[in-house]
This record gives sequence, structure tokens and C-alpha cells, in this order.
Amino acid sequence: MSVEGTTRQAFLARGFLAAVAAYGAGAAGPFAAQALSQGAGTNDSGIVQFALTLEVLEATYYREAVKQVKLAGEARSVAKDIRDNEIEHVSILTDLVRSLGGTPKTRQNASFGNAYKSEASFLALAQTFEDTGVSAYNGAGPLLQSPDVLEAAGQIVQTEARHAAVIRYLRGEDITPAPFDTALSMKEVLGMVKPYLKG
Amino acid sequence: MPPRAGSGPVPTALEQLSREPASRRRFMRELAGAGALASFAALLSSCGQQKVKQQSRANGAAVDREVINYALTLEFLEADFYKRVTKSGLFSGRQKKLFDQIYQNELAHVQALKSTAKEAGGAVAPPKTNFDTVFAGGARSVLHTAAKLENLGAAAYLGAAREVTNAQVLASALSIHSIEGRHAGVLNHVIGESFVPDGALATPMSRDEVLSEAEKFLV
Repeated sequence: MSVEGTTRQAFLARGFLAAVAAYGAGAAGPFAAQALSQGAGTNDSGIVQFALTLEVLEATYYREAVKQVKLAGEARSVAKDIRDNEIEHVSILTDLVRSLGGTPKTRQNASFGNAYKSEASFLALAQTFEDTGVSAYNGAGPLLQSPDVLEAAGQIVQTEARHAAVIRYLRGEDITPAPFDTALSMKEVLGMVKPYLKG
Repeated sequence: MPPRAGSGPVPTALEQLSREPASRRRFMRELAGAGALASFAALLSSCGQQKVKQQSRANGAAVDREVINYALTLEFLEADFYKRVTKSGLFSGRQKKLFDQIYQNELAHVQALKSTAKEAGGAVAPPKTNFDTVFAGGARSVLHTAAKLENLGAAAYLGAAREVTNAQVLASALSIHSIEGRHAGVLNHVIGESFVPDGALATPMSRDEVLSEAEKFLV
């Protein structure tokens, strides 16, 4: 993705940002500004590996939750569907990292504190993971070089967004935190998931 | 990669890679043979991707303006629809709250895209819409149409993303794309359908496919 020059970039962002601000989207906006301006310095393989790390975490979270948490009807069925998607995301991104010349890292030692003690606590952390996933992919998207990899990321982020919204709906929360989803940098995302990763 | 002709669903590059064992094996063999980076570049250039990139650098602004206005057209359509939903009195309680929120989101999208389109050289006029048949069918018809429109919008943004040349325009489009995905997921769930109808990978739609669906609601 070529960044065409500060003036035009800023020009095209102004109107959009004004609308975002008017609708009270909050501190983080649709642009992972730092990441964009610094160019992040990571190639597609590295960015996809970052996404793979998140997907492994999510797959583990849901796989274990379905086994360990007392989940009622709707929540159980939703958790299973999400689990199945995340497991497939891991498989897809593992293949993609390889095809981009990288060595996929899927070993993780994750732990989720008290999240499994109830359906409510499980859903609360699920919402955090899904919302964070959306912002992670949205932040990473503009950094990708390949249009094919971008499309793949888009196919996945839309699924994560669907997950996020249904979890929120089950919790009686607003399905969208704001009219525009925020974008986070890789650094910010890794900071947010670090407490759950032990190795 | 086959060009997107718009006459039917074309597997995305990822799907070709992941879901067709034969093409995945062939691709991985090529990678192993010639060295990873060289092969991927060869694959891209053989699909004409590099040519497309060169062309779009030359007329990137025009392409972006087209994509922005395409998105704006769909948002105008959605906003019109939800305006009528909120005035219809068909919904109460939780469903009313859901529609009110979706409407507010679509209004915000219209505003943002209109401003961006103007900065990019000009915004399209709002299309004339007609949802009479939908509303004649009552609440159930409206709910199903809402789900249809949101899934369509999400697929539209997904299909258009790869065309965008400017990073900020792409970031803007992505920030809306996932919102449409949220809307679609919940509306599907509300009408008793899968919140992930395409499974792990959402399906992009071409502009031709999207507009032919959207035309049903245009005058």
C-alpha cells in the first residue's frame, strides 16, 4: 500500500475525521496513525504472523471455554460457531505465513484468569478479544503490500466483527462501540493481549 | 488469479490457496522449488497484479474517488431504508433500539463519505430509493431486508478494499466495513440465521454483483 504524500493524505482524512469526531468515536480513531506514518517496518509475513498470534489465542480461548464454562443455549451455540471459525483462521493464517516465506509460530501458553468462572465473565473477555481483533486487523490492513493478503485480512476481520457484535448483543451491549471501528497498532494490540500470554 | 468479471463468485486468492488442495499443493511445490519470495512475486506478476498496481498508481485518485462514491451510494440507500424503519412504528423494545443505533451509524457513514468524496473531487447525489414492497410485507419483511442490505454492504466494502490506492482512504473504508459486518452478524442472528453465513472467511462481492442487488431498491 503506497502512502502518497502527507498533503494529500491529510487532505483526504480531514472530512472523514471531522465526521468521526462529530459522532463521538472516542480517543482512538479509524487510523492507526502512528503505524501509518512510521510505516511499521514489518513485511506482510510479519504482519500475518502477528494476526496468527491473535488467532491462536482466540482459538484456545473458545476451545477451552466450550469445554470448561457452564454455557446456556444461545451462548453455547455462539461460542461453538466462533470457536470453529477461529480454529479455521489459525489453519488459514499458518498456511499464509508459510506461503509468504515465513515460519509460522503457533506455540502459546495462554491463561485467562477467572474468565471461565461464569458465562458472564466468559462473554466479557470474549467481547474484548473480538473488538481488539477487529481493531488489530483494521490497523494492519493499510500496512500490507499485497492486495491478495489485504483481501484475506478483510475476509477475516469481517468475521471477527460479526463475532464481536453477536457477543455484544448476547450481553445486552451496543453492537457497535461507535459508528466507526478503531484501528490499533501492532504494538498496542500486543500490549493488550500480553497479560494472557505466558510463553 | 482470474480477473474479477463480476458475473459470479470468484474464489479469492486465499480461498484458492486454502481450499483447493490441488492448487495449494501446486503453489507450495512452486514455493519450495524456486524460493519463497521469488515465487510469490512470480505468482503475483503472472496474475497481472503488478500491472494493475502500476496502472492504479497513475490514476489512483480517480479510482479512490470512484470507490468512495460507490460506498456513499450504498450508505445513502441504507440511510434511506433505516429512516423509513424508524418512522414505521413496526418495532419496539430491543429491536427498535437496534434499528435506531444502526440508523445513527449509517447517517455517520453518509456524512463521513460525503466529506471525503467532496475532498476527492465530488460526491454523487443521493439515489432515489423505493422500499414500498419491503414495508408492505411488514416487520418480518423489513428485518429480512435489513439483514440483506447489511450483508450486501459488508461484501461490497470487502470487494472494493483491494482497489483503494490511498492508505488513509483504505483505513476509512476498513473502519466502516467492520461496522457493516457487525450489523449483518446481529441482524442474521435476530432472524434466526447464521451470524457467519460464509463461515470463517466472509465473501467479497464485485461492484457489478452488488449494484445488481442494490438496483432492486432503486427507482
